This record gives sequence, structure tokens and C-alpha cells, in this order.
Amino acid sequence: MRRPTVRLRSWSSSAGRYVSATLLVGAAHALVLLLDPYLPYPFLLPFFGSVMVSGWFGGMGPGLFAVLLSTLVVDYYFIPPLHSFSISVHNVPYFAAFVISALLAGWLSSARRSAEASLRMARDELEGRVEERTLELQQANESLRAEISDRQRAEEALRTTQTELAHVARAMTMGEIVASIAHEMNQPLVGVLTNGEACFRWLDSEPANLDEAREAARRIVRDGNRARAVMAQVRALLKKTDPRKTQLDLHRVIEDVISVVQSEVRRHGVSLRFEPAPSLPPVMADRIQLQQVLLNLILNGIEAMSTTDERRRVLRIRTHDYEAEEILVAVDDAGVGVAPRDMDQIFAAFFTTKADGLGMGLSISRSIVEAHGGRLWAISDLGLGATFQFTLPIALPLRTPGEEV
Amino acid sequence: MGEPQPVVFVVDDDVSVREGIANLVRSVRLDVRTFGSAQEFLAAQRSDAPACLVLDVRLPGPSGLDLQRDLRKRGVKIPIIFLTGHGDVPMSVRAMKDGAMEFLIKPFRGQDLLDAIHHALEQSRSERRQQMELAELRQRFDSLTPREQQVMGGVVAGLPNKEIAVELGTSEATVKLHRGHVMQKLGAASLPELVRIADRLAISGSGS
Repeated sequence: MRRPTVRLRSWSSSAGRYVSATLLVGAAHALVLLLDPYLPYPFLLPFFGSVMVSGWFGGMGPGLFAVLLSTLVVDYYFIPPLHSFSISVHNVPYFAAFVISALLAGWLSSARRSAEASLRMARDELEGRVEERTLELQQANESLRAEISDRQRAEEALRTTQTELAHVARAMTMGEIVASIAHEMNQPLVGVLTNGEACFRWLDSEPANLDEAREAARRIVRDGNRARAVMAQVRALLKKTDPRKTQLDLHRVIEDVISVVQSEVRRHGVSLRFEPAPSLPPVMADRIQLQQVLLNLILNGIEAMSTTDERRRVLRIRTHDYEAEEILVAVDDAGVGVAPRDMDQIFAAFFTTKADGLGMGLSISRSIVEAHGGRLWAISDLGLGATFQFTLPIALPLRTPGEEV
Repeated sequence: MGEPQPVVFVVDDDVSVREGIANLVRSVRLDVRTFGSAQEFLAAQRSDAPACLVLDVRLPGPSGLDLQRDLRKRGVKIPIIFLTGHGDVPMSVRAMKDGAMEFLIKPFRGQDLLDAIHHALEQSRSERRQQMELAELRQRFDSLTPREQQVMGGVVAGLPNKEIAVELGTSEATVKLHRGHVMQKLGAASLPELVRIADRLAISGSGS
């Protein structure tokens, strides 16, 4: 539907609206005069039309103005006595009816018009508001989505860190893993040995109890299978720890490990000092395995100082450039040290000087370092402390083909 | 008097261990009862037959050591053979101090366990015998008249008959008569034997 907005604008100045009302009334008068010769009495309806149109487009003021003009014109030209503003008595009802009708037409028209206008305004306003709100909602949605993905990223990072920490925690208990494997193997082994012995006894009894012997043999096989499953798990565990070497910032790895052992350091009243070399090239190593080695050396150092005077309980971690293409990491403790006769054996599997140690930590650490092309060894003054140090080859920058080597 | 069949109790949370030990114990014609936890064992009915307990140190819930302490607190005297996965020295020392019979490290030889069980049952038997003897002695002592108990008190305190007679305000002959009854009722052949009996009954001094 076409909206009269354009025309409304052309009517917008109030003087223009009154002029238009005057013109409309004039036009109505002309029309009435034009029709007058053909009709038996004056046809006054065009005046109502002019009033209604004025009221519609001009509003209440121009509408009433048109009523006033029409009344004057009708009184002057069509109500006897003609060409005078006076009204004869018997024409008063007719004239009054005309005035009232004109007033009603003007008022209704302009009221209707303004109602429609305000309705339209309300609708337009509503539309504007809806648009505005939609925009706001879209923006909110956008920022929410951004926030969600931020949070997802943060959670991802957290999960990764946690997984790594769990791995490190597992490394911390390298000895405990071995203890747990030993425990898992022990149980079925007890079953095998006791059932085996029982089996012989059932067979040797007079008369031989074959049912019991068979039952014992069945359990031996069952427990043997259980041990086999444990071994399969161990193999899977080892497979998982194939080194995945990447370029690493050694100092960051060390800092990570230090943050993991903080509570242990505090609990033992040790002061831990990290003395990094001013700048180091990256190394090629499996981060998790490197963490395992560092953890093992640090925890060993802390443990070695449990009987040291508290003021001397200092653990130092140092890094150096070493030789041409190697980096040296050293962990110094002021603990009990290593006896010269033990020096050859401390890296052997199952050798331990600790009351509850399993003798696996250093042996695993050395094999990890060697798998990285480095070396792990110890220097010690008995009673004054020990230094466990290892080297790692630095990561060589990739050479472009054709470059001089 | 026929002694009730001895029983071997096994408490271990691992079914392989439990069944293996149970089978081994049954193969030497001993009764065995197995439990998966300390609580199960405590909840079970136990007769006064000679018994021993094969107990894993590491258990879900209260540990083997907790159970040992609990039993001692309840006054249950049962020889305990501990099983452990690893030879933890301080722990085994503690267990032995608390009266453990034996500490076997898994995996152990079946024969070692059986030896330990036989040894433990022997101890349980002798303990049980002593308990019964003591109960019988107590009964006999209770069958003495108050006068006889007074005389016995004097005798084990090392007083001569005359002095006992003076103390109790009676004649030496009467004391001798009572003394004869005491010896007879308690089955004591000599004065040293009577003193030993009094010792076991924890009677000392005179006139108690």
C-alpha cells in the first residue's frame, strides 16, 4: 500500500496546510457553482469533502479552518437571504445541521488521521527498536562465541598440562611403577607356587586325589596367564615411551620440573637454586623423558640431603655449554655423597643404597640420556655431596641443500 | 580329651593368593578358611580350636598391621604369619615386635609357608593347653575352703606351720591337715610344685 509520506511532507508547513484548506474550500465552491444550474437545490456535499481532506492531511486546525470557510461560503452564497451573512429563522436548522456535519467530518477525519499517524510512528519506532535489539543480540552472540572458543582453548591447554603433569607424576614414581609391577607379578606367582606344591601333594597322597590335583593345575595355568597379561601391559607401557624428539628449550623444561617439585623441596627444607647459562641453543629431546631424568636426579639429591644440616641443604641445577655441540646439565647436592666403591654400581639396575629404593631410577635415567646421544655420570666427595650431570647434543639447525657443511 | 581340629585362617585380598594358599593348606589335611579383608575376618565366627592367621600386610581398608593391633586389643591370641610384597624392614620389625610369628616375602616357597603354619599351630596348641590347665587350676583353687586358701597363702609365703597356726589362731595339727587337703586338691606332689601353681594362679603372700 502506498503511504502518503511524500504528500505529508509537502503539507508539513502549517501555513501551507491552511492555504491548502482555503484552496480546497474554493475548489468545492467552484464545483458547487458548476453543478448548481443542473440541480433543483444547492449541492453542498463537496464542502464536506474539502473539510475531510483538509482534516485528513492538515490535521485538526486546517480541518476546522475549512469548516469555518465552508460555513461562511455556504451562508453567504446558498442560505437565504443570499449574498449576506445573515440567516432567516426557518433556515437555521438547515444551516446548523450543515455546520455540525462539517464540524464532525473535520474532527473525525483529522482524529482518524492523527491516530493512524501515531500508529505508524509507533510501528516504525518498534521496527527500529527491533532492529537495534537484533543488532545488539548479534553482537552479544558474537562475543559469547569468541569467549567460548577462548575458554575451549584454555581448557585444551589445561588438559594438555594436566596430562603432562600426570606423566611427570608417573615419572616421579618410576620406582613405584616397578614396585607395582613387582606386586602384580607377585600375586599370580604366589598362586603358581602354592598350587604347584599342593598339586604334588594331592598326587603323592594315598590314594592320589586326582580331582584336587587337576583343580590345582587349572589354577596354576590361570595364574600363569594372569602373569602373562601383566607382562603384556608392561610391554605396552614401554612401547608408549619411545622417545619423540623435538627441539626443546632446555631451560623451560627445567623450570617446569622445578615447579613440579616445589612442594617436595619445601617439605624437605631444601633451598633449590637454578643457575642457567646465559643463553643456550635448543636441544633435540623427548620432553617427557627429559623431565623424568631431571626429576629423578632432583629427587635423589633432595633425598640424599635428608641428614644434612638444614643450613647446608642446597640443591643446585646448572647448565653449561659443553664441548662443541653439547650442553651439560648438572645437579649438585650437599648430601651423603657416593662411596667410591659404589660409584661403579649406582647406575646398574636394582642397585640401591636407599632403605626402600628399588635401584631403577639412575639406571633408567642413564638409558634415557644415552638414547638421546648423551652421557650421564656422577662425581662425589663422600660425606660432602654429589654432582650428577648429563650431556645432551644441541639441535643442529637444518641445513639447506647445497650449503657448505 | 580330644582336641578340636586346628584351623588356618587366610586373609588376602588377592584371589590367586587366597586360593593357592587354601589349596596348599588343604593338601596337608588342615582346615582352612579364607577372607578378602580384615573386616570379613573380624565378622566371622571363630571356635576355640587351635588356629593361626596367614595375613597379607597390604589390604583394602584396615591393613594387616591394623588387624594385628585390633586383635591384640580384643585379647584374641592367635599366632600371625605375615605376607608382604616387598621386604620393608621397619614394617616387619614393628610387626615382629607386636608378636608376629613369621614374615614371609612374596613369592615364598610353599614349604616355608607350611613350616610356618605348623609352627604357628604348635604354638597355638600349647597356648591353648596352658589356658585350659590354668582354667582347671583356677577351678580347683576355687574348690578350696576359705580356711584352706588361707593356709595355702601362708605356705607359699614360706611360713612354717607353727607360725601359720598362730596367725590363724588354730593348732599346728589343723594347719597340717588343711595343708594336706590343699596339696591333694591342687594335685601338687611337693612344696615347690605348689609354689609354682600359686605362681601361675598369681597368688602370693599370706592370707590372701
